[in-house]
This record gives sequence, C-alpha cells and structure tokens, in this order.
Amino acid sequence: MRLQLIRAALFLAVGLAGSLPPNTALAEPVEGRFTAEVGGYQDTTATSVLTPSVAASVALPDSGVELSGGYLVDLVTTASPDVVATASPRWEEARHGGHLGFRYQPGRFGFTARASASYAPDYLSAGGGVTALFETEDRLSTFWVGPSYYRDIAGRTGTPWSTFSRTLDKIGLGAGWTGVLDRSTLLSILGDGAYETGDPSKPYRYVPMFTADAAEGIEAGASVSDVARARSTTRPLEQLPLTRLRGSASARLAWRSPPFTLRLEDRLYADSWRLLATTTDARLPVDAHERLRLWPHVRLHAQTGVSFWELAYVANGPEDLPALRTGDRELGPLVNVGAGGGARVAIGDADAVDDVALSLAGLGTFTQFFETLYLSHRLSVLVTLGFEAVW
Amino acid sequence: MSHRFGWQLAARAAALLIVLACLPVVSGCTPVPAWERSRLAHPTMKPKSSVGTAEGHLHEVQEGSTGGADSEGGGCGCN
Repeated sequence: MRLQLIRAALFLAVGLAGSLPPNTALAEPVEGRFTAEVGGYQDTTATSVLTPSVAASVALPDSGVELSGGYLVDLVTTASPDVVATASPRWEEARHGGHLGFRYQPGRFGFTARASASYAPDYLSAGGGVTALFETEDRLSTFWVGPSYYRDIAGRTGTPWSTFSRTLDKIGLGAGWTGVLDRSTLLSILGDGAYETGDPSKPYRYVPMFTADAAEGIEAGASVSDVARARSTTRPLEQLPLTRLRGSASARLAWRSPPFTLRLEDRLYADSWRLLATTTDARLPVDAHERLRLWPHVRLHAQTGVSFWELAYVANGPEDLPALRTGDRELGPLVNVGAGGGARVAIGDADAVDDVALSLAGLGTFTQFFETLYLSHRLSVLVTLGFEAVW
Repeated sequence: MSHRFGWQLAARAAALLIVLACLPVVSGCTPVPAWERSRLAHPTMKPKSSVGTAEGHLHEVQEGSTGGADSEGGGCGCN
C-alpha cells in the first residue's frame, strides 16, 4: 500500500510537470528553495516524537509556474497514561508523509493543485485539493477559493487490511482574501469547512464505565489505580459519531515597523460535535543584525468539550452503554498555553546573505485538562532545527 | 464554562465577519504605490502561516480543532 501511494504521488508530479505551458523556455530564470527541519518533542506523559522533514520548490517566475514537494517522518515512542491504563506495553511507531504542490499564475488569474499522502502501519491517508486565484490589477488584493478531498483508512497493527479497516472521507471547501491595508500592513482572512463521513473511532481506545454511584466519586485527574478500583468490568471500545461538520474562520495580520514585524493569527472553530475553540498566536520577529533575526512567540488555545464528553461514563451493563463515548482528551475541554521563541542566522555570502540560513526555535506548552481521567495537566517542549537555501 | 465561552466565541465570530465584510472596501481606499512596498516585501511579511511543519503537526495532535492553516494569497505585488 505504501509503495502504491508513493507511485501515485510520483505519477501526479510527472503529470503536472507535463502540463507546463508549451512556450516555457529553459533559458528562463529559475528560482529554487530547499528546506530541512528536524523537530524533537517530549512531554510529561512519556511521549517522544522525532520529526525530520525536507521540502523543496522550483519556480519559473516569468511564466508564473511553481512546483513544490516535501516529505516527513514521525518517529513516535509513547507510554502515555492511556497506554498504561489499558495495561499495554510501551510502543513505537513510524509515520511517513509526503506532499506535492503545483501553482500556475501567469497573470491576474491562476490555480493551485496539491496532493498529500501519509502512511503508518495502521493508518493511511491520501487526498488533495485545487484552488482558483484572482489578483486585482494593482496587486493589492488576492482572492482564492477551492475544494479538497481526503480519504483515510484506519486499521489495526498486526491485522491485515482485508480483515479490519474503516474508511473516513473528508470533503472540504476553503476561501480567503489577502490584502494590503497600508504600506506597513498585510491582512489575510480565510475560512474553511469540511464534512467528514465514516467511523473515526480508535480501534485501540477502551473507555472505562462506572455505575452511577461510582461515577459520582470520580474526580478530574483521577489516577489509573483509582479508576481501576472504581470502574465496572464493562470496557467497551470508543464510539464516535459517524459524521462531522467542521468550520473555522481565521485572520492573520502582519505589521512592520523596522526592525520589528508583528504577526498575529487568530482562529475560531466550531463543529457539529459542539466543540468550540479559539486560538491566538503572536510572534514578533526582530532583525537584530543583517544576519540575525530573533523572535518571541506566545500562543493560547482554548476549547470546550464535545457534546458527548463525560468525565465518567455511566453504564449499568453491556446492554446499557452510552451510544457515544470517548476517552480522547483532545476532544475534551482544555486550555493550552505556549511560549517560546527562535533565532535565524543567515550564513550566505556577503552579496547574498539570506541565501542560506540556519534556524532554531523552541515552544513549551502547558495544557490544563478539565474533566479528564488520569491527567489534569501536561507539559511539553518542542525544539526545531532548520536549514534553508535559495537560489 | 460552555455557555459563557460559547457566547464569547459567537461575539468574536460576529466581529470577525463584520471586519471581513468591510475589508475589501477599506483596502481599496489606501492604494500603495510600488515604490512604497519595501516593508511589505520583507520575508517576515509573507501571508502564509508562521507555523512550521513540526509545530503544526503538534497542534493537530494536541488539540481538537483544525483549519486555518492554508493560505494561497500573495497579495502585495512586491516585485
């Protein structure tokens, strides 16, 4: 299956390259960009992730053509409380992902196409989207709109796909506007929505059940041993709704007053599972030197839980299970606060300082979980080391 | 927490929609000549999200919301 996905991605890339306009001249200037990044993540639930990734793009600016692509690997090791609660051993997993993109905008109109795929031993995803672009004559506004489609296939590690698999289809639509407000300010407004069908329930996630009396005694953050003592013997698998309608509205502001740039991003989110969320991200890049850029970074995310979220699900027996049940903390009410920063050092030649650069960034997050078993909070740190080169 | 939080979100969404409806008009009232676009051409002024690959993936896993990552706009004519 993984080889088939890679073949499909390569076929798409060749097909897109073959669709270049016939008068594209090889003597035309070519601009290229290569980036490599390694991210390391560790949190207080004993989960570690190493994510190396590479990406590249090649553009013919005179023709308005650009090709891009990238590849990443997630190397995950975890012994989280959820794993401990199910008496499962520590596990490790590698997930591979790749993407391709194509942009053609010779004038005021244009389009983009993108495709991506990912592979893990128990999860596949593939899909893409297209976008139509329109730029005003003064080049101060750009509008875009386009659909997307992804298909995910979930399985179980060690079980053939023919024996067990579930499909999840996602149809999306996005639109946006980017405009110049004045000589120092750029603003983007974008909205996107998606409709998902299929069963997204995790085949490994068991949800503890309690009698009504026992549930009253369960407090948020109850330990694995406390839950094990109080729970009933019924232990059903997670069951989520079979459809989901998502929507988000975002705004991005960039305002420059040399040597500072203020970047603000804000997103509002809602879905048919009644999860509401707000996310605000702020960065302040400062050109401390011709070759050095520094930035502080703060982030705040808050969300309500889904409508069927419960701290302790009540069931009087196997025939009395709640129709919808989950133990996924990321579907519960939480607040996530992040702070960090970064630095970028340009190491190019004197006449092309920014052509080659190294960057280092870090983000620490504190997550407060409300109405959650096993955990009341989590600390995590993400460090990324990057390299970029342009020509 | 849910009801008050929901009203706050609804108010913010309404404010965002009002700004969205007015912005195409506002942006057309402040034309910027090409020779005054040097600030807009700075690398930190790109309209795409500042979130990198690893960080974006982290937020996808840690949080229940999605969206808002993609942006196709170039929108400044900074050539």
